[in-house]
Amino acid sequence: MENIKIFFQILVIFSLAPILPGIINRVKAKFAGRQGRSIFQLYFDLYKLINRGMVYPKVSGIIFKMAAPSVLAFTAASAVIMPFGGQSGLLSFSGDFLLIAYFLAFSRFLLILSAMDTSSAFEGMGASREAQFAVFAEPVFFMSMLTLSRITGETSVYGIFSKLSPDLWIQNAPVLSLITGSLFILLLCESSRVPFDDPDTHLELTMIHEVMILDNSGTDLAFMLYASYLKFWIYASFVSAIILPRHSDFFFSDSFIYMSGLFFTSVAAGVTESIMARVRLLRVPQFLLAAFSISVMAFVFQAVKG
Amino acid sequence: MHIISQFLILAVIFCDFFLLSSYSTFELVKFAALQGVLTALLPLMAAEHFAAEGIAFALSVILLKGFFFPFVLRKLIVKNNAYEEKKREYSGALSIAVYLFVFFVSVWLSIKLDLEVKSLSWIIPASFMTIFSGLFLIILRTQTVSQIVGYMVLENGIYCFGSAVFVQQPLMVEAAILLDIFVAVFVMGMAVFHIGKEFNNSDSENLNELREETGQEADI
Repeated sequence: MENIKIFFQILVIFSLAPILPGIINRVKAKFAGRQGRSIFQLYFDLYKLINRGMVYPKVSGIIFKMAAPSVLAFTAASAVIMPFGGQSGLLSFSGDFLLIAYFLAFSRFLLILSAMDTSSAFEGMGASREAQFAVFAEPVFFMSMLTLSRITGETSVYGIFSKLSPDLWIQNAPVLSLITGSLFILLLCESSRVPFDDPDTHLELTMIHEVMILDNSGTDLAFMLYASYLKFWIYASFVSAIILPRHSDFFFSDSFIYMSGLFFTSVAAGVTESIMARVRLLRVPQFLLAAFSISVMAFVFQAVKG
Repeated sequence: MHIISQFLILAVIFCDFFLLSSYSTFELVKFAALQGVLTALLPLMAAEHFAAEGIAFALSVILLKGFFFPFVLRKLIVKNNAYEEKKREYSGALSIAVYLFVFFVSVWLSIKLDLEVKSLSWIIPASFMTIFSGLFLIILRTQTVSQIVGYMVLENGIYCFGSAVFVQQPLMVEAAILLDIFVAVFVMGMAVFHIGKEFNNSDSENLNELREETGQEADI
């Protein structure tokens, strides 16, 4: 039965990941007074891209060819470790959030390498920006996980998620809201959303994530886009697990609560994108430093209290 | 009540963050006023039961800090054309560094003081943070309006600390503090008006230039 549940949750993660950015697009369209694209549009886009051939730049080598499948593989590996609802992921052990963070860091490293491999100065610029923002983003994740670990007394993601409860919220509401805030900022940054990056922009000097995948085409581009949807799912899962902790031990109701959390997180991301302008590139590190200081505050308050 | 007061304290801390990182004087006034209103609500949340005089006092503080002072300061800003604080290249990162520094010092101080505050656990670090934020605003900013806001924030911190240590505050002491700040805003407002009249803006760095000119004249 456990194996069936894990198979079911992996199936759900892989099949529903593109829906979340679809919801964001829909929310943005509604805010702008438009009907908007269908929330399933990204599936059609992926299907279209998979059926297209790939073109590689003449100067690129084996790294560029390997990058897209590898980026997807490492992101997918992180996604399957994530717990789903009240259920543990494929793997669960003490300190597994470090593995998730480093899988994602390695996929980012491969993405940067592939951008550099095209020999395009433009893509190199995007790679440099991505690496710079990662320096500020990763401490936010670790500090938030450290605080969550201290609150719950658990060191695995599954343990942390299963210990989060409405009672814990009543006892630690300010600390948990600070953590939710910093993880939400991290979600927007890591999944290249406004105010950090705009996935729809193709204005040369402002692109970060999009500029690195400019030379990818066909299936490779589909892999890269799908990996970014999975990444959004992973970070949204953290926010979702905190804002809507599971209430019962019944798999389907817990899954429903978890999915509702993901839905609300996507709507919140869409609303944020609609009401905020993109910050200037030079201010992005400051924004991330602010998120870091929020997570440090949460940690110190928790430590002093405990 | 306990959770609401915790969130109020959190909001006070966030006001400090925005005050230290904001460079628009209008925003500074807005956040100082918001912080004033929040700190006025804190003693009400901490008290076991609502007393009529406590509510009346909180209302008068809200009226003064939330509406009257911002009204006076906004007039000053418009009159002296002092909308923006001078911003330097490193201003954003420096503000966050200052904020974190202030935060750690406040937490350290509150641990060292070891005061018995059971009703509101975060209020001591929050009040220290607010006091230090006010001091930093007075020291680091050059616009005189920002320095007045710094003074208001400093007072918010003292009020917050007072709420933590004495939940039922003697009204006379509080009224005296309010009268102090009331007079201070007027006196400083007049000073700003005169600086603005002399230099066409209210940047306190003008006073440095004046000194240098006097020095040059002395050399000649």
